[in-house]
Amino acid sequence: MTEVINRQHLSQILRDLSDELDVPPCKYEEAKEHYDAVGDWLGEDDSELAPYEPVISPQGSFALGTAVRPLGDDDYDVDAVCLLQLSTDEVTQQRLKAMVGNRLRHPGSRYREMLDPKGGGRRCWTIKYADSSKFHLDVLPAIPDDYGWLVALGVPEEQAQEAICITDRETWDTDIDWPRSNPKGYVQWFKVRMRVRLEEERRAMALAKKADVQAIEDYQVRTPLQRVVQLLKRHRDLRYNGDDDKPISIIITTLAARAYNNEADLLDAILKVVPGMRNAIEDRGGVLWVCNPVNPQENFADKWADHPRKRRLFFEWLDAVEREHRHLLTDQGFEKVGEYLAESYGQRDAEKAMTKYASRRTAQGGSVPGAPVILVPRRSDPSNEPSYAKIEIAKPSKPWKP
Amino acid sequence: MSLIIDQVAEAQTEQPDLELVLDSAGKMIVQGTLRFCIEHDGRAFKDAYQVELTVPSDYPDSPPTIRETGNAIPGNFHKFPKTGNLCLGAPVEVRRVFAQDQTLLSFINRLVIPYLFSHSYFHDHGELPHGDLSHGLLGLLEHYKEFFGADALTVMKLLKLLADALAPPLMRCPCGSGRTLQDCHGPKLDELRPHYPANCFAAEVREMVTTAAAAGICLPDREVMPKRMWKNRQKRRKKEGRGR
Repeated sequence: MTEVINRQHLSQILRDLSDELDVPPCKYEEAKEHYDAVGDWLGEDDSELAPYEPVISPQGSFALGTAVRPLGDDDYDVDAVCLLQLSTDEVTQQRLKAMVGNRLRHPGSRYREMLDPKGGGRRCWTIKYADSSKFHLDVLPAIPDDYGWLVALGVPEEQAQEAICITDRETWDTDIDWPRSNPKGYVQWFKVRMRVRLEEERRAMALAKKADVQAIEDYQVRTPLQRVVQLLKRHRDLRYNGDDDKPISIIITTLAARAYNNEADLLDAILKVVPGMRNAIEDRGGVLWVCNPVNPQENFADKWADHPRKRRLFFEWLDAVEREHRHLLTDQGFEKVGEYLAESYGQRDAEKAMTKYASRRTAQGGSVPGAPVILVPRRSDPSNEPSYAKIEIAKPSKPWKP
Repeated sequence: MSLIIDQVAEAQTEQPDLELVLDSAGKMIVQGTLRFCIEHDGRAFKDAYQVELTVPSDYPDSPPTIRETGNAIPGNFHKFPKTGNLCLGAPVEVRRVFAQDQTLLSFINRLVIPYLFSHSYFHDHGELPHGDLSHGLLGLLEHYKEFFGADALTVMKLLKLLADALAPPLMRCPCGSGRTLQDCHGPKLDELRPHYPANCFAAEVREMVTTAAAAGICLPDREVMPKRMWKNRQKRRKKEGRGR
């Protein structure tokens, strides 16, 4: 019985927590301004790139709505594709990368001094904004892919047609084939996985804001799937802070989206998605596959074969997440929910979420049953001698009895 | 909300064995053990009590209430009989002291620990270290006598001014000093006024007046009765007069 009640409370707390983890809408708008400005600069009339109609579009967690506020002093990491209308016959990887780089390094360019590193990264150009804005934008030079082969592999045409060819400095001298990617198709696939809830959330927000559903942008709402991914990513960040073998976001996102069945409740979603993620990993002749949904030939977990530690950490982490959330449903677990969340998701955000939860509980004025929750745990260490506060009494009030 | 969370954290610097809990009824409770060491008459008193403080919804406008949960303090010590809450002092005094700082730590150090210490001392010596107030109304009167530095009659006259929310600074002070209120007991009234609504002062004076009357003490009614009480009595007398 109490589990049912703890469930409701926990779901609400996790919702509040994911609100705290979320990137504030203003940062989304700031990111959009940044990459739109880059797009404008690349496509200006006097630009060498203008004839190829460069288009910049977001990819990665900002496009998926699964970005998490960075921990500590880390930057917001925004990824964008810069697509030029060229074909693999007209340009080489080296040339494409240089074309975009040259425009960014043009003497009249405001980005001239903002590139970090100066010579570009392995696949992209990174623009570092002023420290105060804590942003860096990865611009990935790309050209459209001839996507027929993807359709042949069974990828829906709508998603396949977004496929692109990208550059890779480490292989461009040795490999004649262009590396393939499809970030836009991936975003579409991700949205299909949560379509029911996405529409529902947008309608709900339109109602709340008394606005038209069409006026609500996808990035303004969060489905339980997006929240689950955000929680998982932050949980991973805290557990494996700085570890190169930590579970990577694309694997987490893909498996979570595969395991998600449009659960409406966040806790319900977590409890079902996490075990489901394990099942969503395929075994192809002894090799574990996390298949790229928009390119069945790409295994996101390809590094697991050579780096068994990566694989081990991933499964360890998945087990831990499942165990912890199940424990929170018990009375002993729920009583310490604040402590646990602080440990797993970060002190600041957990405290904020608990505070919100507590205000709501007190506002409801005691009509809600459920286990008591510790908001501020004791600080005493039972193994130490207790300390006695030295108090001086000046002008005490005299005890009285009615 | 975040205020109380911060304040518990602050209190933990001196009393680490406290925790803040949201109970199943949605009430905020600070619970745990309070430990103190107090020098008194050249002796160190070291003691610990289990307590439970309830944070009111209008905190910090109102101070918390507190219960002792380790069964160390018997019911015949200074407790509210119905709730078992500790009676730290005259109600208005508790509010006045709390209002000076409005933090949990100062509530504990200035009100709770002195009370707990009194109990520890009482336990050993059979008397209270700083004295206590008589029970009930008499104790309340004693408190006000001490606070105002005045006799019982003056106390009632002064409380009437609070009850009526009418204390012109230039009126003659009721204590009989001949000075104006602002140069005499006025500042003391100002000290109390913010901590209690006028009708609470009125209730206290009303009870004092009725108790005195029942004991056959003759009072200058006009000067001690809150306005409403006085008017009601006049009306009643008129009616009775007509009736005769």
